[in-house]
Amino acid sequence: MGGAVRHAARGRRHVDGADSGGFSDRVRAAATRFAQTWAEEARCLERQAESQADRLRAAVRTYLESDQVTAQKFVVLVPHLEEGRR
Amino acid sequence: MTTMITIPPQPVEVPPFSGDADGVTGYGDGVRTASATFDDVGSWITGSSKPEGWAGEAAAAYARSTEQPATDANAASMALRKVWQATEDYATALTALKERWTDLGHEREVLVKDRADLVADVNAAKAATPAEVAELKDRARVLDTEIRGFGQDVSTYVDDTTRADAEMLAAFEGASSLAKARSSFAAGGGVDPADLAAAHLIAMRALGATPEQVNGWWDGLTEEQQQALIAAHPDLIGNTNGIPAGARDEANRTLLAQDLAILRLREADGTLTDEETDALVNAEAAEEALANLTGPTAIDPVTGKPVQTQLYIYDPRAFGGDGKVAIAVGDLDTADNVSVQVPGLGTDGSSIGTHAERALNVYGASRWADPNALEVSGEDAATEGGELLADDLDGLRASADDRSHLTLIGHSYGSTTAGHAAHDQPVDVDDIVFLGSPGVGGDTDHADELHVDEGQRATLISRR
Repeated sequence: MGGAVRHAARGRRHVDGADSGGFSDRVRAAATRFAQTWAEEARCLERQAESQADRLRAAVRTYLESDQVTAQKFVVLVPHLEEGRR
Repeated sequence: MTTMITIPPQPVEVPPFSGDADGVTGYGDGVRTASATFDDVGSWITGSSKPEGWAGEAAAAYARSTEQPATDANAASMALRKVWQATEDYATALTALKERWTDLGHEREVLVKDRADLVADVNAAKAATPAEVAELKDRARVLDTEIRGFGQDVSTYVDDTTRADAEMLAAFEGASSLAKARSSFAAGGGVDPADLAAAHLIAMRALGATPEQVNGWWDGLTEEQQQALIAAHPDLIGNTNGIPAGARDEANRTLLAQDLAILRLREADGTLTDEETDALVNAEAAEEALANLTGPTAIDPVTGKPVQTQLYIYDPRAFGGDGKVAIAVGDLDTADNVSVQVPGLGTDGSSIGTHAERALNVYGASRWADPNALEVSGEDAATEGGELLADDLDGLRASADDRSHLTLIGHSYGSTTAGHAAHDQPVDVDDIVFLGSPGVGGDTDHADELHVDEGQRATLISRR
């Protein structure tokens, strides 16, 4: 999810930096609010993606650990194995 | 005897104008780029973020957990896109309103002066003859009518200003939260129509659609669909032949803004790869070239206004990092005359600035004939380059509103590329000029062997 974090950060910068000075007096405040709202939404998405990435990393760790445990158990098991066919 | 002459009231004041179309366009460009980026987030989550070959319960749980963020990103993209479309309309309205406001100001000055003249003439007419009094009354009546009409015009102008503001405010309100964006997205069936249209275009390209066919398809879309595609799929729209230059320009400027943002971020983080370094150099060269073409030296000698520029091709990662960039000076969609300049060896995306200046010079030197110059910068092998150039020329022909007079100018080894394009492919150009050519290429011995119709010209300026 690192890609999503970067994309979301990029999206936030584009709205966060939007200058609302070109709008008429009646519209300017809404334009500023809009940019702030979506910069904040992009921040939320960044946080979600970051948390998702953390969980993915945890899943990867779990896979690797269980893989390792299985491998160790197999090593322990090998001396006790013998050919069953006569 | 006293005669009453009714002096009309002062014309109403024109309320001060507020707003700046260019500023709104700049704001809208940021929103459009953000929309494109949210779209990328949605695509990334549903595509690249899923580890390949991962299956089972955990994989299914992960997929479920990404559904909402992906939907949210797509909903956000569409919400922002609608606001961008509204800013485009608002900027157009502001330009027209500003003109009306200026005209109303001038009209009012005239009316105020006419009224002051009338007052002065009435005050001076102490012993006026009946005929003179009648004339003064007539002037007062005419002036009164004009001032009332002016008041109506001001009222209409104020209404139109209010309407434009209200429509812009409504667009902001409609996308004022993620909840509203989700609701609109769900109402549309959770499908981005731009994705369906993009899939159609991708299929057309895969099936070998000609630029004419692409252009016909594009023309059949509504303006809203076209804008949606520009915002959601700028990579597809920016470099597909047959798409009009104006749309390609908007898409490519979105890509450029995205590239500059992400690559500069990585540069600051110290995580830029070699390939990304090349891409950043090319992107910054394009940015600088466009900036130079908006400066005080880039003024149309006939109109005195800044020249229009279009980022016609933008692919800073093409050709193993050499990049491919084409900037047009003028409007390729409406130009009567177009010159395409192909530079020689040692050219890559980073040299677009120098070549864009040349394009500006060609534009300025021959402005009387309304030429619009396109500078292509990118190093290709001449044969392959000729093929790509021929595709670009076909695209130019297909997307222009009317058939322009198209001149192909090849310099140095660029003339070899141009020669290959004209010799190997059935290109539709009117004139070809070879400058400092080491050889036209394609075993061409005579101008007849090039695809230039009789009566038109292939000119060799010099050979070295």
